[in-house]
Amino acid sequence: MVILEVDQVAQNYGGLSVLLEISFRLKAGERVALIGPNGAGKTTLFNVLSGFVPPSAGKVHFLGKEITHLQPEARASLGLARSFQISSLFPQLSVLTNVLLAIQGIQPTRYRMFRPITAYRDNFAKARELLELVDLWKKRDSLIATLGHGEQRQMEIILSLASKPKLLLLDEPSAGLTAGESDRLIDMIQGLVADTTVLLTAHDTDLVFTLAERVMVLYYGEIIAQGTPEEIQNDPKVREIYLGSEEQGKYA
Amino acid sequence: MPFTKTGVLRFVPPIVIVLFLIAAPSIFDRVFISLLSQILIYGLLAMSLDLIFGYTGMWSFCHASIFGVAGYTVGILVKYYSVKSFWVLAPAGLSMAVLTSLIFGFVALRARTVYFLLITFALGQLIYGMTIKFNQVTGGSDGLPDIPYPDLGLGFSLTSAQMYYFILIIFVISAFILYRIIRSPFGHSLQGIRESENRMRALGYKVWLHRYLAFVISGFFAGVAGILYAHFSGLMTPDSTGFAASGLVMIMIIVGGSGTLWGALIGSLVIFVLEFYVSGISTDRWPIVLGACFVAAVMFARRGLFPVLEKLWNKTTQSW
Repeated sequence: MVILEVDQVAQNYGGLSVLLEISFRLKAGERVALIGPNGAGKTTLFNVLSGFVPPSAGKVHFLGKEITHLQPEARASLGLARSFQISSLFPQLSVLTNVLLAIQGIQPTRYRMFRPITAYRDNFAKARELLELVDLWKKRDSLIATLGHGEQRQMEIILSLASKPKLLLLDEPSAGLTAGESDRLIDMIQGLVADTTVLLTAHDTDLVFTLAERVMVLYYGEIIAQGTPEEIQNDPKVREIYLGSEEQGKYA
Repeated sequence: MPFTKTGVLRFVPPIVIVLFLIAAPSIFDRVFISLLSQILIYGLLAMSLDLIFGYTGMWSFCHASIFGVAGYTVGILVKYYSVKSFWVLAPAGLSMAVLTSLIFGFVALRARTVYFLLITFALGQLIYGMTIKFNQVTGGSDGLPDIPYPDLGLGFSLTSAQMYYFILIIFVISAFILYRIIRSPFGHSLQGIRESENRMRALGYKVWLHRYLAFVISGFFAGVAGILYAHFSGLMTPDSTGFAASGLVMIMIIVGGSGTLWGALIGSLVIFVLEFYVSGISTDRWPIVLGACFVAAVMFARRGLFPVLEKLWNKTTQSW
């Protein structure tokens, strides 16, 4: 089953073409990585897919429904969730509240006004489960602003998948992490997204090769190659433009 | 954790304050009780503004106008239609406050931050202008006088002490509802919007609707305060609806601590008590003292007085 269908999507900012008629499909349960050098258009594509930027041309279908011009919140309620490259959390709210806000995002609960947010038992139990997975339950009353960068990145992932989305877009999940932190984050993501369709971008090759079944290479707004991680690793074109040419590679 | 030591101690200050407020009329003279009534009314107005100002991050500058719309509605009905019953006046005043918020919110919510402030400022001045210019109805700058204490249909009219208790009861009920709202899923959603609007949208929240609802709820309680004010003071003047009044309410929140709810009440207390004593010395000097008080709050208690008091209380109780 095709979950996401991107059909000739293009994006221009003034005279600058950031995406040139990109087309691809994601099947249910697939985990796909989108790689490419800085400025390739990865984040722009994510903004188009999550609804923050309408595309200049082309169509996007999600679960058979055209969503090209839907607002982000409408896409979220269809089951499309995303994380942000620069952590976009609620710094002055507690860890627990952050997760509860994420869980109730597409529920009618978000409009309830009289009982405390923690009185909604199901959501509370779900929040506890998620926070225990990343070992942040004991810090549930701390403000997000007091957490370290690594913990904030974990929260970023937790928030994006708390509503059990059908498609999860992860934008540079390991941005700014040390190698050790990044390894732990990869383990965590692997445990959490077992049966979710995932599209992720990353610079971190470990992350790409551990998590993704398929890799697409974006280069100046075009998908120039796609295939299994091994195929991509051995693709001469990719090696040249993305990993650097053979000659440079020797001394890198 | 309601039964731990800190859990129980957390309830001590509000209980002491409520007991003090209940006992006040038998301890203090009428002037002081009148001051307390004013503190409670403006405290409620400031708390209702804090719901959108401190919690949602919407800097509304027309709050006193919505308060004024409710008060003027009461005044007009009393003067021209000889309506007496509180049970007619209050729903009428509240309906007008809610209607005004529905319209103002719809117009102003196109913008955010400073632009939102400017639009609400303009809308507020519209109300202020109307209170002056429609002088056949509103009494112009003389205002609408002779609004009596509320007639509750009990067969007797309220004494000034009973009026104080009436205000206190409405205040406690309104404050309780506002307190429940800020702790609810909806209230936390508002704080989420203040912290990161894009994340809220990505999570599926209809941010506009949340903001709009918050604005209207806030306007409802501004209306409650406006009705109390009309009955209590007996006089609605344009000054109580203008930007100076809206600004004063905002200063109360900033001095007391925005986004804390109780801070708004503390701000009202500090400002009215100061005004009371300074005006006793010289009326002209009051704005200078108000300005100094604002600057001091911004310099020495940047997040307001409430967080400072809270810290002090926690420190004191820890040593027990």
